[in-house]
Amino acid sequence: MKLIHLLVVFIIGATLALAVMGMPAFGSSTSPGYTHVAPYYLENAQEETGVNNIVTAIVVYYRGYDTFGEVTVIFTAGTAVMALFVMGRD
Amino acid sequence: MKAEDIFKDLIVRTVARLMVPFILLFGLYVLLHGHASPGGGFQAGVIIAAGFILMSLAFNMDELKRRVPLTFRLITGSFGPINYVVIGIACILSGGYFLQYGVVPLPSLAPADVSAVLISAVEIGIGITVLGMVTGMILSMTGGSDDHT
Repeated sequence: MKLIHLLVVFIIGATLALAVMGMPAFGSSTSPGYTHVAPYYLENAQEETGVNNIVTAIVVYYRGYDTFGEVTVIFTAGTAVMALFVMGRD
Repeated sequence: MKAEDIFKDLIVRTVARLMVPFILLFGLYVLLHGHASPGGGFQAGVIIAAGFILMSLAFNMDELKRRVPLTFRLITGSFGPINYVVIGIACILSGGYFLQYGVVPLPSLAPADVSAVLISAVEIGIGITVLGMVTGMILSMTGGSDDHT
């Protein structure tokens, strides 16, 4: 049984190592992270959103839904923690 | 020295008294300047909450609990999502998509400026939510004489 576990771990590890070999070089300027939407943001974010900080422009403007979800997660988590502590005090 | 008296130390009190105004000021700067420099609502809320927590540790936790009751913590915590939804629906009512800030007709402002103003408003709401929730969680965890209101 232990041998099967070891074999599964080895296969998964080998697959991941093979996948890492196919990744673009570290810091490569042709990696998809730098060529897909990043140039559009860098060129157009200032005129479209009016804010100078492009990180803020992406977080609140282009990815507004995502940030809305994050705020809701913070609110839900905080409310749950506070509710647990208030309930456990009786 | 008892465990709860560690933070009542003279050094801790003096450092807290010196540091807290600057921490709060820096938090406000990160919040209001987040559209032009690194920063934003999440970071600013945590910085301001850290200032409040340091103050309550060094001085009196019950005082902060009395001044910031549970209802107030929950209201400040829910301000951010409500603010976000209101701004998003205002964009829909102005004829755009949800959270398409530029279409809201604020007087005498170009679309890019309108979206900058509304992005700042959203960031301020996020900061208030994070502030209320982090402070509320810490105050709830410390126990002691808390209100149930």
